Amino acid sequence: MLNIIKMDFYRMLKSKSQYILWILLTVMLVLTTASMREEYKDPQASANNWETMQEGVEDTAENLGMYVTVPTEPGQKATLYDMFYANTQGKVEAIFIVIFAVLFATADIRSGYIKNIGGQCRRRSDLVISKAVILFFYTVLTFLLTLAVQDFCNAVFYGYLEIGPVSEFLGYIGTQLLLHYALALIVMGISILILNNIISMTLAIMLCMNMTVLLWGMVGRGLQSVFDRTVDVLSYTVTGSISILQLHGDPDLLIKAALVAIVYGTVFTVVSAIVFQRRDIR
Amino acid sequence: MNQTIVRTQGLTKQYGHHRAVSRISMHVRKGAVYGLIGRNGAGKTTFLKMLAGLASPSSGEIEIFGLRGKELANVRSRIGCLIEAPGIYGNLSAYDNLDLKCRFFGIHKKGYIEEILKIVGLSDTGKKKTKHFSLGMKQRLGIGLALVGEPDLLLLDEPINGLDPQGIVEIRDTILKLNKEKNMTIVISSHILEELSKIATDYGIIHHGELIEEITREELMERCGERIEIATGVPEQIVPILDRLGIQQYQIVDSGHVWVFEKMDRSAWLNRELIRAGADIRELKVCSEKLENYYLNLTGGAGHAEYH
Repeated sequence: MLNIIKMDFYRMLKSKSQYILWILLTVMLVLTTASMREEYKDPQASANNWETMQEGVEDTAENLGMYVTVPTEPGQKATLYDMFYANTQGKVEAIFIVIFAVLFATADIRSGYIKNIGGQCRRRSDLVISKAVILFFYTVLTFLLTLAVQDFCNAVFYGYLEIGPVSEFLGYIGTQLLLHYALALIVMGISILILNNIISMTLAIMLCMNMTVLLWGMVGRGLQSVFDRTVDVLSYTVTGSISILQLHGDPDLLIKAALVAIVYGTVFTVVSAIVFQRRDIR
Repeated sequence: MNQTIVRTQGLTKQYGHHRAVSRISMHVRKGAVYGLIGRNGAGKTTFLKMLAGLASPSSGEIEIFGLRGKELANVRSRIGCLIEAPGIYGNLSAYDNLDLKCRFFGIHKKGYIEEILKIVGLSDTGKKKTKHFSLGMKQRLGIGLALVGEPDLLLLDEPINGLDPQGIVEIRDTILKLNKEKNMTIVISSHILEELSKIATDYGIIHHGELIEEITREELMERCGERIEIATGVPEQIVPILDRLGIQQYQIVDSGHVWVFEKMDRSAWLNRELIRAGADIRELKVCSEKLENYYLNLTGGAGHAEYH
């Protein structure tokens, strides 16, 4: 098992797409921070954003598409926590993580390399577990890169570097890390199950663009009509949780989101490992 | 030499309503180069995939190195395979592709990858990405990948498919070298029978998913023994004469040839008798049958061939 992980880690390091995605993520972070600075400097825009965000907290609303806006209260300093939150809630990191997850999870299948090793494993499901481990590394590295770039951007665009409440920030990062990792595992599972990169990639991006909000809305209404009770399905989904977690939010929500991540991540990894173990390699 | 290291019993693979492999029972001797002959779609690849552990049988049993069932997992690492097109990462060099598989096996021996590159003749490829390789180079790298971990059994599916004559010779030499020098048992499938006949020590003929014959080279040579080939403009004219001469084993191959499989030592007598009977004989010679014809006879592949 350790050898398979070493092999996949080496494959990750040799993967050009990984570096391209990181470069694009860096560019994206620079652009979003620059655009947020303009909003931040404009008192009217800043006040409007703050108002919109407060409404969002009340409604636990999720927007369709990617939406990055400055979350800083007017008159306050824009912290690293604020900027990280804005980009994370806008699914900036998520979109690059899911693209990598699709490419990485299917690269050995697409290239046929799997035929060199698929028959020689004691348990073929180990190959899926190994991919899950590598996706964890990738998610952690992506978050570290995001923090480093955001540090730099804050210093350059705002002229200062204010981290914000450290323990709260760490809790938020940890929970978002789990949620993003779970999202990567979901996408890996989808890619392995359907074995079609175009469909997998489309579904992954749709997940990041919150397209499922319509589906979960319908499910919620369905459950409401059956049980006569309002059910917020979104808060029980990974992408929903990524968006819903609020700046300076309730710590209980972090625990709930972490549990959602663990359940989804485990289920998708186990199911894809079982399917991969049983399915013939074509 | 006679130890059987691969044995299948009633191996079957069903895809929906299509039975790709049907009740194949085959045996591969240790140290053999086992040629699996069959047309495209005959079931060779599916069969090899099952041996390689890439596909699970619908029914039947596989025994490799004396182990079967779940115990097979213990010997899977001793089986190298090249199934269909070589599975390689195009954006990596040959070295890196091999390095990945070495990591999979936990092999860190210095010079190990270089040695494999040398065996398959890719030592001078350097950092060239494999997507820029020729088909022959890719095939050789595919064999190289199969060699990582020093397998005792090598499964090669159509390794010379699409290669130029030079590439075919190189692959053939590599296979023979591995068999002789490393005492590797090799199962090689092909529909290019002429090539297979140059390296195989045993043959399995597969047709419509069934193994219709399994023979050694010696047996095949016996069966593909000598025959008298008669070139004539009117084969139908020859048939009654042969019947009258008491010859029973003959075959009208096409509109210009008849083959006789008996009385090899009496070709001059046969020639005389045919001419005496007024047959239009252009040529009469003793020669041996090619593997291809033997195969076609077995599978009924040539629509125009008849066997009496």
